[in-house]
Amino acid sequence: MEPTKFEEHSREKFEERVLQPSPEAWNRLEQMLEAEAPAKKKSGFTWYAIAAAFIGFVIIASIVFNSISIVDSPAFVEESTPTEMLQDKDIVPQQNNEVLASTEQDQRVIGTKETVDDTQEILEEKKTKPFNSMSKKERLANNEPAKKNINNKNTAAVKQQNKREAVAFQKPKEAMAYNSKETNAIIKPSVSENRETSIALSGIKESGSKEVAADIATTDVDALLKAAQQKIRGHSGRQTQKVDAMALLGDVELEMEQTLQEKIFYAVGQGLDYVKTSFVDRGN
Amino acid sequence: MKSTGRAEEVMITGFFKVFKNLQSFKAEGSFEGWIRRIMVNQCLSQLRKEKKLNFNDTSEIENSIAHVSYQETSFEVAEIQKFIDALPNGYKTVFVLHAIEGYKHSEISELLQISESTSKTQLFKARKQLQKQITEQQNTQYGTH
Repeated sequence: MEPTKFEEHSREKFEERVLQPSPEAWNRLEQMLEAEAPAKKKSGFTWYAIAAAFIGFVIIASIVFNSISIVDSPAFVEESTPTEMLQDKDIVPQQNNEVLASTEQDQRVIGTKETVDDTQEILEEKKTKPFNSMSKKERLANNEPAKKNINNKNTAAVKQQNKREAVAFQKPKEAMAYNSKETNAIIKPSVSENRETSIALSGIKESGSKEVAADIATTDVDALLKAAQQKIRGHSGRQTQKVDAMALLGDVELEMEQTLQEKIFYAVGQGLDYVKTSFVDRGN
Repeated sequence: MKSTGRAEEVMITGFFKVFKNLQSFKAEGSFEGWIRRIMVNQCLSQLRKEKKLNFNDTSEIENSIAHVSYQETSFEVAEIQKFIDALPNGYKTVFVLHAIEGYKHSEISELLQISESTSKTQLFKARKQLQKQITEQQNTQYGTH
């Protein structure tokens, strides 16, 4: 017998042969597959958990960064001095009353009641100033004791006035600190001018105390006030109107940008309208 | 595999691998052929673990088929299985892969990580031993009758 024939015969016989595995074999195979399945599920769950955590982190980060960017965005306000204030400044103040009138305007811009009240009080005090100056003239004509009394009164009045001025110019600063973003933008220029006014008033204070001490004429005070006013005007005149173009553009884009929710509502609304229209048309 | 229990063990492990790597099956060849290949590999892996694959005799024999011829008898599967099981593991593996499973010598050399000539030698020796066994079987049968 040829070897190939024997081998072919053997192959045929083996192919015809059927071997049945024991029922336990399939159970074991099933157990092995079941044991393998939970491990796979576990690993899948961990991947899902990692993915979910990553997505959550991204969402939180985007929310946080968006909120920060909104807070940090600059106020889009054109810097310009209030017209009311400029009008007041056009008139060169001859007396302290007028200076305080312009200060009152500043306080109006800030819009705080406290500061306005304080300024009014200061105004009342200031109204006594001409009387002081008048008494000075009388003082020259009258005797010395009266002069001394008046001087004492003046000193007391000036001291009180100085205190109130200090309070009056501290309060607007406090009020400004608590104001909103928009108010801050309006306040900014007036704050700088308040500072100038306070410098001027400190000049007045100094001059007032010197007046009491060395009897300096009111013309010096006026000259100082004029100089201060001119300085203020010079500052306000130098201030250019700054507009941040990029910030304005960003603001407009933010307004233009619709949220996803709005888009969905709009699309659903449109779809509903279309269905309604088609339904009505069909009915007709 | 000589014992049914070990053969069953190999079959279970083989099917487990089939289910586990089902997604890696590419429909390039037949599914049956893919499973068959996994089973053969599992058998060989088991034999390697048991250190039963030994191909020490590497003397080259050319044209091995021409040298061997079997006596003209038709055997039943059980008898053929008995002859094959009596072969040494190296001879048996190459004979089964070539004669029963239909692998070429190049494929056998790749599977068993041996040279083609070794595969041919193993096949020649397996045939020679089978011839001897068959002749002995025939003589015994004639002697008893």
